[in-house]
Amino acid sequence: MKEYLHYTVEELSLDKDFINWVRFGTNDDYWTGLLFAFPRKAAHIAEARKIVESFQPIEMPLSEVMVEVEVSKLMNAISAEKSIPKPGKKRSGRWLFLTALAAAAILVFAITFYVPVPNNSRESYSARTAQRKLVEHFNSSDSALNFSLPDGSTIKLSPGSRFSYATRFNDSANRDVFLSGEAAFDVAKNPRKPFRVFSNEIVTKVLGTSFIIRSFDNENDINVSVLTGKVNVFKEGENGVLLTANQQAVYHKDRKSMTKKLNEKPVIISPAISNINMVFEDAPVTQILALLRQAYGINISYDSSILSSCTITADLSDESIYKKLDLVCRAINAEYEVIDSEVFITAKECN
Amino acid sequence: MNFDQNEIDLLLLERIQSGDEHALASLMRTEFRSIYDYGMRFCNCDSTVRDAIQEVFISLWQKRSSASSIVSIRYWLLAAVKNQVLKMMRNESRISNLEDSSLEYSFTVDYSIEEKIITKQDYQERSHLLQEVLAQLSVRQKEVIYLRFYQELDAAEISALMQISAQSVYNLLHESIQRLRKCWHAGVLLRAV
Repeated sequence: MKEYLHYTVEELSLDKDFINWVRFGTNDDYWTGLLFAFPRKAAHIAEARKIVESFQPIEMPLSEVMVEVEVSKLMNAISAEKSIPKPGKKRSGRWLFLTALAAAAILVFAITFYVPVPNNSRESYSARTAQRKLVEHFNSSDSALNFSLPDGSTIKLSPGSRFSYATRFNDSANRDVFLSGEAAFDVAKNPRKPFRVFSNEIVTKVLGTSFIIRSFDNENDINVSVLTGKVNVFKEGENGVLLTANQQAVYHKDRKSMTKKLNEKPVIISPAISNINMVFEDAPVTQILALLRQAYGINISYDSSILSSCTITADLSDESIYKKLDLVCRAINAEYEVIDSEVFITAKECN
Repeated sequence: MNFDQNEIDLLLLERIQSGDEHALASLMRTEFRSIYDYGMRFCNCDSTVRDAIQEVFISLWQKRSSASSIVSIRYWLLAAVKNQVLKMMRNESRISNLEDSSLEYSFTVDYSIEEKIITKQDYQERSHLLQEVLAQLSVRQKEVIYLRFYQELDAAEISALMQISAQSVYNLLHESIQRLRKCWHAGVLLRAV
């Protein structure tokens, strides 16, 4: 140990070991022993102690969860950098997730008009598939039919739906498939070969992701809802919309128009975050919103200068994103609104 | 137990150099709080600071082969985050200060005046006095004090980080401590424990 007995108050207060004792109680035995053995140094030590304590800042609030989010973000960033996509590699365990999502997503279609729409245009399933050498699956059962394509992509075909693809699927420049009805897709990544789904009027183009399409000949709406990744949905020869996870596009045949909105039940898309307990204590609202944005891949807009002073204590586990936003907004007397596929928060400053 | 955090960090750095991603994650876990706290002193802008930290760790990973020159990780990270945050703030505000890269910045610190420093009966009055002294510290004094008493950097590291001489570091620390002591001795803040 150093010659602390000859230290001035100032030298003592600047000593690293001394600071550690004051802040964290490091080597407490040594220092209390010193106090005990040299009582005349007590005033010295007390004053140095107060200097160290006075100069401790109030720490910036930061939740444990946020640190984990940042760690997983970093891990994603460095693995994205080095990984070269391997085509045709299928991930197991994905289907369970996808099936649960599919069930949830079915609710999205609850309000669908059964308008018999005559469909004998050249965009119809029958017109598109005529004159081609195709493999066709028709699901006449009353439960979903699972199968995979030659490139490793997996399809879950709903009852009453029809699906087909070229017999020489792997030899063509594009991975084109045709759908009439409803199917969930988990497409194997292959950036050099776009995967295109022709479902009546609408074409959905992806590189590798999962999504659900519902396009029955006799229904007015065609619906594409994205579970993971990015999806491009368009009418042939026209500009379309780009969808990301938790978003959906609806094409209205009668109005010939496309709308984009959030999925009815957005789910957490970041596997790292789905394991995190969303319990917050005195956490900054801006961090919670950043976490939600990353968890759901949904853009949440707010004025950060207004929200920067707000902290809340809340348990946000086991709730839907809307319930979570409700709880957060109620706590800080704010309101939120969903416009298209974005969440907008209007708030007042917190004190 | 008194683990030296820097020794642990240096072991992590060795593993990072050999390409171990888990070591990079561990380093971020152990150091995130400190460097986030430092970054937030320059602007109260949570997302800018978090982005800056991501940048710093990504570039540490990319340049890991030349990382053996790092002696103190805490110092290296603090310096890198400071540069990155100030750079991003400059870009955001689009200040055309191209020649002057050492743009003036602010450094905000609030201190917790705890009851253990001041006896209860005259808490109100005394804490007010102490707050006043602390508030009167200059931006540089605040940063020097913060780096010494909170981040526990040594004088050489503080001088490199703030680009001032070791003598200036000492002077700034000395002045601040003297002010505080004068305030105590003038008032009767200091009582025997």
